[in-house]
Parts: sequence; C-alpha cells; structure tokens
Amino acid sequence: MMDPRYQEIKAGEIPTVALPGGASVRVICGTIAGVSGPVRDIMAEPEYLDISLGPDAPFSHPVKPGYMAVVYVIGGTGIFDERHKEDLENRTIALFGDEGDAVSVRAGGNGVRFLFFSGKPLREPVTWGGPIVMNTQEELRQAFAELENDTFIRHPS
Amino acid sequence: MQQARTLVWKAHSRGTLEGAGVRLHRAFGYSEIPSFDPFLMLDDFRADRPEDYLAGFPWHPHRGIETVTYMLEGTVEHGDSMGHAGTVDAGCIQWTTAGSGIIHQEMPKPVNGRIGGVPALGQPVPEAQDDGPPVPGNQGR
Repeated sequence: MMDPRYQEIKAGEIPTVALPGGASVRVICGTIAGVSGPVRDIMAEPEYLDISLGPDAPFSHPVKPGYMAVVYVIGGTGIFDERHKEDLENRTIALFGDEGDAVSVRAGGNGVRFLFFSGKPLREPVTWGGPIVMNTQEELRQAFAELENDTFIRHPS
Repeated sequence: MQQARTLVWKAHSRGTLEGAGVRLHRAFGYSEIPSFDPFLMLDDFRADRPEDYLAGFPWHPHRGIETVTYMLEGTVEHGDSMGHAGTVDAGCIQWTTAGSGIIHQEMPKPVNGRIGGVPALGQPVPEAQDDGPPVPGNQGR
C-alpha cells in the first residue's frame, strides 16, 4: 500500500480567479482559466473548486468525458440545469449525468456560492468499515486486527 | 459549443451524528457510492451551537481513502500519527492520503463564537496502485 501523505494548504496559497461574467473561483485542486490549485498528484485526478457568483451571473466549466461531476450549494441559490430551472439552495447536493462536456450554472438574484467536485471514477469494489475503506472483507478484517495488536501504522513519519 | 450536463439527482444534506457526537449534515455517502465514484461521502459541519461540534473527531484510524477538510469559518485543531500538529483555519484546506494507514484527530473550535462550514470527503485510493512508490508532492508541511 502507498505511504500516507499529508498536505496542509494555507488560505493565502489557494489562488482566486476572477472570470468575465462575475464568477470568483478559489482553486483548491484542478485548473481553471490556466490557474492550477495547490493540491496535486491525487490519483482520481479530482477538481475541487469553491465558486462564488454574483446576482444572475452565469458560469460554465468543462468536465472530461467519463469523469463525474457534483456540486454542493453553501450559500444563496442557483440554477444548475437550464432544462429544469429549479433554484437549488444552501445545503443541496446535486449530481450530474455523464452526457455532455460541461456543467452550466446561473446564479439566482442574490448570487450563489457552491463547491464543485469532479473526478475519475475508480470502479473498484468498496468494502467500508467505518473509517477504513478496502477492496475486500479480508483486507478489512486484517486492518481491524492490526489496530487491535498495534501494527496498523506502518509509516510513523 | 459545449453541451451542458443534466442534473440527475439532488437532495438536501441530512442531519446525522459522526465522530464523538458531532451533529452534522451528510450530503452523500454510503448508499450512493456507485454514482459518486470516486467520492465516498461529503459531510458539512457548519453549525451555530458549540454543543453540536465541540465533541469533535478524536483520534481515529483511516486506511485506503483520502480525507479532505475545507474550513469556511472557525478552525480545526489537527494532529496525526506522522507527527503533524497544528490548526486548519478559515479558508485553509487539509488533504490527507491515508494510504497504508494513519491515526489522526480533528477538533473543531469556534472563532468569534462561530464554527465555519467544513465539507469533508473521502476518496478511495486505487488498490491496484497501492504497492507503488509514494506519490510525489508536499510531504508534510
């Protein structure tokens, strides 16, 4: 298994990109308008963006074929699918389908702030035991056995 | 011309208990794993009442996932088995690749009486690549 890795990024190290049309984007992971975020070399090639739009502002962002895309609204309201024209509000999670090559948003009258995530599906079996996620039950049993006998940590620094 | 993707599923995050009794909102997790792949879950612990979050997430193990904590307000005191210790303040992010295993804790603290939102999520690490060399990048701080 790969060694553990810890990345801590201070607020000032996260670039903010102002786009034409009134979008302000904090780029945590991924690239927008040629600006890349500080978190890199993650296997699922995720994007993690914190996006603020002014009143009625539009926003569109490309998504690679086969990659999943999801948004989580953390303030204001916005329309995330022109066909349904439904305003999504704070604490709403929305998942997009595979068809199409972009996510398109329009802010409501008071603007909207949301987190955008995308990533490459790993299509692995997932066996979940609380905070430990493995591929098989045997691996999960072994992990909990190692916790019991104090051999769980293989890379102490 | 870009073709916009269609919204196929939406929901409000739901109240649940996590950690040592933190009252938070879970946006997705567990039952929706196939459709959110590569993401496993997203928890939102923005809260106004200290009793909802001060119990925090004391020492617990992780293996095989990545955990991400993004602070919108307030701060989280963090420590882990690799010897990292410090705070994750508003606007900062902490991205942990658990790999073969870590033990860590995250204890939310209010600033000016408020805790900021913290969406956190885990991504599975591909087992097929688990025997490879460590991923290059920032090792610690």
